[in-house]
Amino acid sequence: MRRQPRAARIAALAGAALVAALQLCAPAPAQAAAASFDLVVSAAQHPGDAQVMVVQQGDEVTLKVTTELPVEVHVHGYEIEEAAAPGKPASVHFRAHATGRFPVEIHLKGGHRVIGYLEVHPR
Amino acid sequence: MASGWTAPASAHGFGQRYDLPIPLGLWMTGAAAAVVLTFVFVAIFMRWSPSVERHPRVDLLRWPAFRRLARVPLGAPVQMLCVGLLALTLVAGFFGDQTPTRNLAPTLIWIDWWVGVAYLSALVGNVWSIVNPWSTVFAGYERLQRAWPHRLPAPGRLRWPQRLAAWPAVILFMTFAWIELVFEGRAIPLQLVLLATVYTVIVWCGMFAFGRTVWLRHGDPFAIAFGVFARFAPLEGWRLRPVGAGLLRTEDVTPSLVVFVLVMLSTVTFDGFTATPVWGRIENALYDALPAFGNARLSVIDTLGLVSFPLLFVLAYRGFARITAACAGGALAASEVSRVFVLSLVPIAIAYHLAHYFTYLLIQGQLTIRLASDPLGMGWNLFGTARYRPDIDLVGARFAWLTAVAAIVIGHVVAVCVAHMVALRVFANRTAALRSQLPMLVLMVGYTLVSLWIIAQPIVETNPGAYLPDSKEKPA
Repeated sequence: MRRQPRAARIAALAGAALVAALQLCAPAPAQAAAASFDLVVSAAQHPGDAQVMVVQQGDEVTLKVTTELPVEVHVHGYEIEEAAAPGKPASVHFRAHATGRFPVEIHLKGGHRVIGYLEVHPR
Repeated sequence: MASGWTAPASAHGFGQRYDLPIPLGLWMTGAAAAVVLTFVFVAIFMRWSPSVERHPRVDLLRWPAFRRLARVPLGAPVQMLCVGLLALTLVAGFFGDQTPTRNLAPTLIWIDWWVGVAYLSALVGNVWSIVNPWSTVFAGYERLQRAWPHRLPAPGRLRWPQRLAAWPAVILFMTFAWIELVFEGRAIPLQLVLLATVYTVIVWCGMFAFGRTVWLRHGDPFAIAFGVFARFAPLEGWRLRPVGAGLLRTEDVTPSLVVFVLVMLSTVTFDGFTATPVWGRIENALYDALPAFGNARLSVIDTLGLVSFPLLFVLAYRGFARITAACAGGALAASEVSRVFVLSLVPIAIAYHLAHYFTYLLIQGQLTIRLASDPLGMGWNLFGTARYRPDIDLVGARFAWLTAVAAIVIGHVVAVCVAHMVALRVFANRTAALRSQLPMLVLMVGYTLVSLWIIAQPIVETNPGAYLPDSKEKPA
């Protein structure tokens, strides 16, 4: 039947595509590193100032937040909160065990705003 | 561990998605696969016309195991459970802790019900038609009324006006989409259950006036929406059918249902679009340009966006329907074309919905575990899980990416096949059918590429102007 060779060709194509896709996502083994980021909170912050911080899964992450206003720093997903005040920067330290894109927000009186995004990429 | 680690922040963060954007290589592979497979299936269809009259069906009740399962009286207990959950949700919203992550109402409504039931409807079957608690309660009233026909008024005395068709459901669904995507109080328990109460009144009035089944078929936005999804599902009652086969049935598609389906599709896409940087820039630009609206600026901008998407979808779809009618040599009117082909777009929307909400359901859905023990946020611990913290490690980024792209590509292929089979049925011969498909294929490839593009975008929160007050939640 004419259908059979075509079906075989389609199957081969699909298989090749799948292998190619998996190669694109193949993990690149590397050592877990330490990553450190400095975030600054100022009273006159403009939207779109959110800093994107990229780390690999398993890295030890340190976020140092310097601020002009007393705020609470909240790392979403990991659910870590730390207070920061003028002259007393917050230092948040944790192991990025889960992949994803996690907003880092500050809470102040009656409001909140995203000051950065922590992107934890798979190895 | 963090030096200042405290208990989970409960003030907000309800409904966040932590998805990483899919990498460029995967985007291109997905896009290429969608286009290549489209051509492959067109080539297959040039040689082989599948039977459009009857698709393969498997009656599960042929096997004694399933017959035994069918006899187990699960229906009534499950329905009672859902009625109980509805009551508990209302109680939690009215009397429980108003913090979104400590109250059962937002999680049950937005995650377990809106996303969970949509998933079940698309992947299993029309479960909502069985477990709908409003329907269950009203059926109870019907039974009471039959027992005391002279004491209680009979429902269903009005006839559903023919010209009304599904338009009330369209309006109700748009209202719901506005609540889901724009309304600032959508994560606040009290506001949510007040809206649920309004819906309850509408449903029971509708059922009382027109009859329960008439209301569910013509007027109820959720019965219709979940029903549309369920046409894609493999199970219809106890009969197994190929995925998407239910979308071939187009006799009951009215012009209002066409608009309803397009509204559904467009709001699902808008949901994803609102988290992209492009939308963020549009929002910021409009925010600076519209100081007249003051504090309501964000709502106005988001409402404008929400309304423009269905309009765009309807205009684009009608345009393509007209081109399709022309390509087929005028054998069919454009309105007829738009009527029979609209359901073939549903698999693409389902696939995008799955891709968008998959990790959300698995990660944020875990809140349900904690809330089951403490639904009102009063410090209870009914099942011992009150201190459970969602495990964000449950789904890795690579697995989430692959399932998202695979879902979108498979959804695209199913859409192409469904559209082709519908074309075979409505056009005179195979050549006319294939020729008519070209515009539809362009539309589908375009729609699929938009879906892929959205999941390749980094998720950004709304951040225009001044600091946002805590009530402005933005569940994804």
